Amino acid sequence: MQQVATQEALLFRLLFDEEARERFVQNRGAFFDEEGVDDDTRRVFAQVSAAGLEADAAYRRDYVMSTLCRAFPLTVGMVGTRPEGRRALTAFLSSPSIFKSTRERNDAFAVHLERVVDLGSAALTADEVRLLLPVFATERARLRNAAELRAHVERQGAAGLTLGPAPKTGDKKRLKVALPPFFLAGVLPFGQRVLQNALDDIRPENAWPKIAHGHLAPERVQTVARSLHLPVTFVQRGVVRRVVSSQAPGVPPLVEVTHLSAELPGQQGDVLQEFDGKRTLQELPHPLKTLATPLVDGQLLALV
Amino acid sequence: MADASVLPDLLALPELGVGASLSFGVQPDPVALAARRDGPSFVEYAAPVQPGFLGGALARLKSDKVPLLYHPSCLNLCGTKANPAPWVDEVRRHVQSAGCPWLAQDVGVCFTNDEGGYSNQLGYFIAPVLTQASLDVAVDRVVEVKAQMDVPLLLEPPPVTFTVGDMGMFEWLNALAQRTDSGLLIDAGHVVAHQLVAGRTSENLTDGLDVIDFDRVVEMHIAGGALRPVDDDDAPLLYLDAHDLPILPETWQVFRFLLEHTPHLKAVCVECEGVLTDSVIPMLDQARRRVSHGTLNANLRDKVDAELARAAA
Repeated sequence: MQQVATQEALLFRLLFDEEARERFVQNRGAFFDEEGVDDDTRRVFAQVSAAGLEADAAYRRDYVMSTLCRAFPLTVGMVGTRPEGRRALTAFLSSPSIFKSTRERNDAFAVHLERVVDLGSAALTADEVRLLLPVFATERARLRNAAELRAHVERQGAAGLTLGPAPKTGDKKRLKVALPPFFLAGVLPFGQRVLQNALDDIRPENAWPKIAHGHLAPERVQTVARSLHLPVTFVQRGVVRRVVSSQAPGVPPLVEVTHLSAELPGQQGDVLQEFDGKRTLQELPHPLKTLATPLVDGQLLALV
Repeated sequence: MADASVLPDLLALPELGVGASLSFGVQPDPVALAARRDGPSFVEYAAPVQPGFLGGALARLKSDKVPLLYHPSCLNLCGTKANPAPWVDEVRRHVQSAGCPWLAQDVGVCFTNDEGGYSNQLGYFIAPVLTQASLDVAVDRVVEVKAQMDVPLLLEPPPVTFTVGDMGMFEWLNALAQRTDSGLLIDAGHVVAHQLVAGRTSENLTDGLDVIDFDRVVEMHIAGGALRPVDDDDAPLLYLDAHDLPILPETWQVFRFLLEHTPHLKAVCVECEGVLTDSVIPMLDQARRRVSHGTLNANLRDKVDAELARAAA
């Protein structure tokens, strides 16, 4: 069993750790010596095809990176515009976290992104880092919010966390305006559309392919980073789209989560605190009512 | 060659004919396709373990009496990480809920954590190390899954671009099936992959395949793929699974050979997720004609001939 575990671990390492794989492919004898590989394992791995190993590893890299990057499309897009950034992103695959649960792995990838920026591994300019940090904070907060929402549903169910029908006129007159649970707000230096445009219309599902194929132009991001910021307040609400119960005890339900979102012009953090569940739409001062009405209609704000 | 004690279970399985593996929520729509006269005679699908995930669509197919085969990618059928009992139990409930006559999955590592998971977390199945010692461990994995299942388990060789170990995949897989009383699902494209990795070429792709325990083969897959040339003397070509592409001539060649050697074959699945409906129907027709012409199982031939007649009516 121990021998199988050792060989399995070596196989996994060769599939996910690019540096180890390169050393193995270049000189497997030296690699075995450096890694202290036993004779039986050397024999078992002696005939591994370098080209076949590379093809398998490349497929896995693209698949796993696509999955990881979905939660951070704008952040990874900015990090991945240059070759140094692409390498820094894929370096995560050699982390032991790659073998952990989805939540642990996503959290670890966020920490990795933070470290990449802190250590300057992506060769970003200071302007780009200033642009990136609030975007990263927003994407990371959304990921955490989704994980916390799932955990809440697993513990207490989804009551009050799914979307109902659009609010009725009567309810809008009678009920008070409040921030709903799993609500997020953050200030971005530009609207998301500006950043998406700079990143070749990047989206969660195409983020890694665009990075891997070198489709992102650093000069477009630099232009945005160096220009006068036009801040927006990005508000999001995590809601449960569907819960599929498990039948076997011990298996968590499948919880599908999505985020409603809207952009408000300028920095509106203080204003949002006014929606404290004490006033109806009619009772709000005119500018607040104007701001709140579409958010209530879009169910980003709650009526309680 | 086969262990006679296991065959009654496999022999008793129903002939399902020629079906298709499809994805719910994307085209071609499984429900609409299965409703066509020339559509698949069964639907194979992958999905999360929770039986209710596909509720409406599965209920519709069941009410239309379309047989269903759940083909998960969430069981460790090899490797040192055990399958959590609740996780396997959920798979059992899913199989039961869909009324699947058998359960089949690629033999690979799908997850490495303690809770269970899906192969896409690792990019895809990680194929087994092909040694006697890893075979012993794989027996434990398969036995722990089978112990909780109400239906026979079929083992499928995963596609590969390289192998690790001193045994051939089919020698290793046969031993695993025999030691665990399991059936086999053979994917013709995956066989091409293994044969190329073993150093064979398009000219001798079926050489050595008689090592497969043909009596245990219950289901076959056929799907699109691509051959990638590489600058490596050990592997001049690599086979890459690509269900959205047409079926390679090399795959048809292996398929024909397998048809002519598998007396208890019950089902042929055309894997066509992401293929346009207009392309799926001719693929099903091609597969049916080849099965009708080549299968050794008279009951399957009768079933498929009836499917051809229905399609032509």
